Amino acid sequence: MSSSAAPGGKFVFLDAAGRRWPRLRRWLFALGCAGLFAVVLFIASVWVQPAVRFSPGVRELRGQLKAAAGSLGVQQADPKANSWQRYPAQSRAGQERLAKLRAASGKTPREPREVRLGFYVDWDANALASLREHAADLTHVTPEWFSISGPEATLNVEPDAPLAEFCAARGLNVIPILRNLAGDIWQPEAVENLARGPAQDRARFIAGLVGQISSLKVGGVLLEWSELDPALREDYTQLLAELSRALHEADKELWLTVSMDDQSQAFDLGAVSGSVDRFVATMSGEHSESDEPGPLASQTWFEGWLGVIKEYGDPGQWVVALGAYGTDWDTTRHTAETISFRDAMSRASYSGAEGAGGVPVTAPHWSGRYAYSDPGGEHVVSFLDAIAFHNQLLAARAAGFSGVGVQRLGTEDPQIWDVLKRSQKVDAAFAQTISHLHADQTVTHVGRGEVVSVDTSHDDGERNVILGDDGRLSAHYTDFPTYPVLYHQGAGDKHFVTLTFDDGPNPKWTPQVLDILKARGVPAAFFILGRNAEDYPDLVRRILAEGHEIGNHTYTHANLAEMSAWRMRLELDATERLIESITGISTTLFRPPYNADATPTSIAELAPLRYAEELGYLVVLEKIDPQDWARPGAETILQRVKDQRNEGNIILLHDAGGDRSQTVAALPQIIDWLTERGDRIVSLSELLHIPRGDLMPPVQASAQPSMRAIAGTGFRLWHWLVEFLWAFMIFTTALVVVRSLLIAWLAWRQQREEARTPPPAPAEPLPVSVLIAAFNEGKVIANTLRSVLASEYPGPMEVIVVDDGSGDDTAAVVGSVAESDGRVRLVRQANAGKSAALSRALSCALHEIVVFLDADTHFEKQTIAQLVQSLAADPRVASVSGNARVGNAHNFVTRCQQLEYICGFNLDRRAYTRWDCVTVVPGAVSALRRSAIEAAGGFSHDTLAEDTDMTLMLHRLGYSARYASRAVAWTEAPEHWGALAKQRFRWAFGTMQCLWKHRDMVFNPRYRALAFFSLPSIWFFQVFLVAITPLAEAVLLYAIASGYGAQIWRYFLVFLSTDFFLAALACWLEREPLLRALLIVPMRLVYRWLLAWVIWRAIFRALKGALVGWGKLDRTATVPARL
Amino acid sequence: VRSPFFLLALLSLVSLAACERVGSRGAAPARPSAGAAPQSLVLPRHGLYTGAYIDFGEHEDDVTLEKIEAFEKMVGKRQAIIASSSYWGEQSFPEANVRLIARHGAVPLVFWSPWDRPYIETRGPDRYSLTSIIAGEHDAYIDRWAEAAHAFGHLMIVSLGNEMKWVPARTQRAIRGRKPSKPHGGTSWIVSARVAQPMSAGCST
Repeated sequence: MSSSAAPGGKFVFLDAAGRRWPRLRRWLFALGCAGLFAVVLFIASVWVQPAVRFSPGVRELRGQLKAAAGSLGVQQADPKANSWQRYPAQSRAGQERLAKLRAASGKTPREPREVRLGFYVDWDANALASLREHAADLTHVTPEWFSISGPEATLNVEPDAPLAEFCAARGLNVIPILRNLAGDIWQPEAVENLARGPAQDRARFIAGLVGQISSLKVGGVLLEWSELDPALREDYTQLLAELSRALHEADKELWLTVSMDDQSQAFDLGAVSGSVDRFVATMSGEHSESDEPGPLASQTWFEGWLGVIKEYGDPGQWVVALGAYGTDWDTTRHTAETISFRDAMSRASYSGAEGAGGVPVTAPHWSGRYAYSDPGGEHVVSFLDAIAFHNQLLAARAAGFSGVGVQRLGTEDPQIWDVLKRSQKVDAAFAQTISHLHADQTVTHVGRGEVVSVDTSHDDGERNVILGDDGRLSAHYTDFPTYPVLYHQGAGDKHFVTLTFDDGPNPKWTPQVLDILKARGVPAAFFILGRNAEDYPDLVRRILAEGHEIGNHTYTHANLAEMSAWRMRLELDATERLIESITGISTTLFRPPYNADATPTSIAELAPLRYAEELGYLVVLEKIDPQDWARPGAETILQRVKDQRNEGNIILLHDAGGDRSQTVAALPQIIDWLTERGDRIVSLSELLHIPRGDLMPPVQASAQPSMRAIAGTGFRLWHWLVEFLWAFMIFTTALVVVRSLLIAWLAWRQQREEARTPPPAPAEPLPVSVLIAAFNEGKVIANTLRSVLASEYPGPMEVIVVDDGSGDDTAAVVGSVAESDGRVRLVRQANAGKSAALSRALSCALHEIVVFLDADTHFEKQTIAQLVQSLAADPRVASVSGNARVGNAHNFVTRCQQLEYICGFNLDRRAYTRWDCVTVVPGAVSALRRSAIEAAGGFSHDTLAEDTDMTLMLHRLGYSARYASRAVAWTEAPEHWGALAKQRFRWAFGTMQCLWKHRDMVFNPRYRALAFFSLPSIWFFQVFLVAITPLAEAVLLYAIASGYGAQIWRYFLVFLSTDFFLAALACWLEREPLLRALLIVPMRLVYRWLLAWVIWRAIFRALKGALVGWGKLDRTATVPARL
Repeated sequence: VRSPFFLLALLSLVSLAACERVGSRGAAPARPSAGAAPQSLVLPRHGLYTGAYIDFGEHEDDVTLEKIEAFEKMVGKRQAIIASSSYWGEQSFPEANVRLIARHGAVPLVFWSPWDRPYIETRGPDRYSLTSIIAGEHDAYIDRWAEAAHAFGHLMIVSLGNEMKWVPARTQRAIRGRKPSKPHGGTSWIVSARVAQPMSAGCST
């Protein structure tokens, strides 16, 4: 039509003076600046580091380690050095018996290559690192995969597939260990019952074991059976013989560990040597963790036992496992722990052992030893280094042993590998090369407990290594290397234990946890998430009020290892600010999300902890992790706590992050079990011997009061905003569902009534005037006219085409049709706009019933008859909408519109008809009473949607509007996004104009359903909800990124399902293929954005108050003629 | 139950039952109630009490709930009596141990062995020789121990010297003759005879 709306009328939204927009712009700018300023201020208030720091005494563990004066190494007596003498060598007769046995079993000579066995554990990343680095220096690896336990000798298998693959790739033979160990308790009964039990049980066990060994594709099994009753030696011999036979049949080997103490007597070594492929002698443990401090394997002790083995059997069948670790005895608490060589170095370095005279590794023990003290008590450390390794290896090789083991990978002095690789005797130059102690970045551990602080500095050390005349090496440590250190504290009393809860607070679970703790009078520490604290500040206050401690667990449960320092600081500071604003206290306690039970093994893993420490936090890890978050069952949670209790004293549970009913169920049992065990559940403050006020100092009134006020207000506003958004989401979802169900129900009822109602009795057909306004419609108008003229309408009909000043051949085309059919009349006028053209057509019409159609729309033969039917039947009906369908649905854009016409427009109209609240009788296909139009004042010129305007005007006059679903008309839809956007902008702007113009009808009881249902529906669902699409999608993305994805997705799915349901229903009612409804999914993702864009464009245009033109679309004439 | 002979018979049955790992879940004694003294061990109406001398480490005094539960899980039965040791060389009453056992709902049986550090099996008479006990050289320790046992306040069984031949009756009389200053609580004395080698780990008669 014309290039602009008709001038002169009161064009809705027009601001002729042009003042509105500049004024509005100024306001928007001012509001934007204020908002931006507030946000910046809030971020700054969070960013300013909270003034919390704890007592410096907490962190200065380094200064609290003191080396004991004087060396322990040389002068200390070693009463166990000659313990081997209690096992006199067997007689030569024994040797001969051994030779006969071997001959009888037909054993082949050993392979000439030296066996090099690496003892591997899967729980220490250093073991894997060592294995990766030194795989080429090993021939065999022994992982801890198998165990037997219980009186039934149950076989437990925990293989490690990546390790197996690695070993296979590197040509390493895997010989897994089979222990009779459950947790940390030896189970001699398991082996004893197996050995003396029924033969079928033994056979079943052996078959199971061999099956596992075969399926895992490993070379055999290494038995490590301890605390066996020597009285059953013969039974063990029999058991090993049976096991050996089965293994050999499967081409697998049987290895047996023999410890150099009383346990060596559990087996008749001579008798079992025929069954066992290799014996592995554990050549350390002269002083174990349960003994008084002493050398782990002094040279005297070592060589004495080598001699005993030589008397017992053939050294060629034996592998000697050389100790490569240290032990730290706490002689005050009577506890001990196995440590790595590097740990021993760091502890020596930090205690200043070199200043106390250094540490010798010399005759007679050739074993490193020093003493130090920490605040908890006195310590003695013994360690086995590359010097001891060399001397022992020298003796073992000289005695003809077939191989050596490194016990264990990951704890060794790195220079043992230089020793091991060297086949010829060492010289002074070699001694010099192992003098320098290179400190790599391996993390070492000092102290005990799970509250840690970090020192990432590292520094090389020095030992003076001297080659003796006898080929042995000796050394004197003069400068201990310093590795990156994780200081541990909080070991506390051995019966002290602390409960910690992560991820809360949560409105459902935290109160239950607090109730249990209160009922039992037990304290705990809650490591809270900022976002949850913000949601439930009352719970934070309750936690504190009931005497518990609060720690920082970041704001969003973010993985600190994967974020930048600034983000990490924001996470911590925001949470800290929030805690301050809620409780008035600060906290110095921090626990990193994820892997708080995984001890850091690399300097990269230490970085976040160090950063947290720099920010002033005390990092609280844990060792007892029953993984309650995975919901393994309350019983399993309890059992895991029991199993891990000896490993540490801080228990990790969760009071949020999912269904925590199992945690709540397990908690009382855990508390009862700990109490029965004799433990005392203490706060972190008591565990660390730090006053609660130091761990959680009150916020000083003078400390950054304005920043705290801003942060507090910001958090509250944010909290309310989030609450509002959630409420809005729930409200909107409910409204969408209710509306959709209502529409579906009304449409279905309407459909049923139409189907039931018989066609009205034939009466005298009413004469009809068909009116077409045309502007540059030359391409399509001929077909349109042909479709109208072909209508099977029995009554008189005239067709009036008003050419609104077209610049093309529209008039000529219409003229030629008029020549051939007298029912057609052409009226020409200067361009004046669509509503003016329609008014002109109306004035020329001869009949009361006027049918409107767009110049690009084709009628079916019954369309006019169907349109007129309702008008003829009911005088209160003044307008009837036809069923407009997309006639050119051949690409994605038009297919989307096709579905939209079916389920968006027609379904709504069908439903609205039921309650007589149709909001638009479209100009594309409709029939109206001319008298009613005139009563309404004719077509207005003040909106772009004259059809909507007319429909609403007729409602005002008390007329009804109907939808005739069988009055089908095929219209041409825009084929490209640009054209569609142009059309929809016109529709959106026009609709908004009409809504604004008739805003008094909304909620006006006079207009019933129109006022309370269909008009508010347009406001809310077609304008408001579409406009906030970008915001909704942004919230959705933010929620997914913040971990609320699971909850948000539910709402999103409800929206999508509702859309799909309506689309499917509409397709069914219109007899369209149901599969077409699937298009709703891409439409939801793409099409809705376009609608949002045009709505916003229309809103801005409306606010600007500019005159808006028609935006006439170019016709393509792609609607096929359906005649 | 006051008769030592009766208790001897009872404990023998108890130990045998434990060794045979009887699976039936008999009546366990009721949990001791605090402050209800004096107490005594009442014979069960049906069946036997089962008890165990569980492996509590080299000094037989590293009593932990984990070890008790592991043993009970293994034999499939809660133990009514749980034995552990108190060596004189420690010069202390094993309060934590007996309280743990009592909390677990069992009666503690303490083998009170007059041995001195270092605890070496083959070592001859030491500081706590029988003559020195009879001479009253350790009366102060014995009294302290008895006071602590009294303060414990729950039923417990004490076996002085695990094997009779090592502790002559007159030594026992000398010790049992020591009276605590307050009325005695629920301590019962038993004398156990060395009748055999241990039948298997964790059991002894």
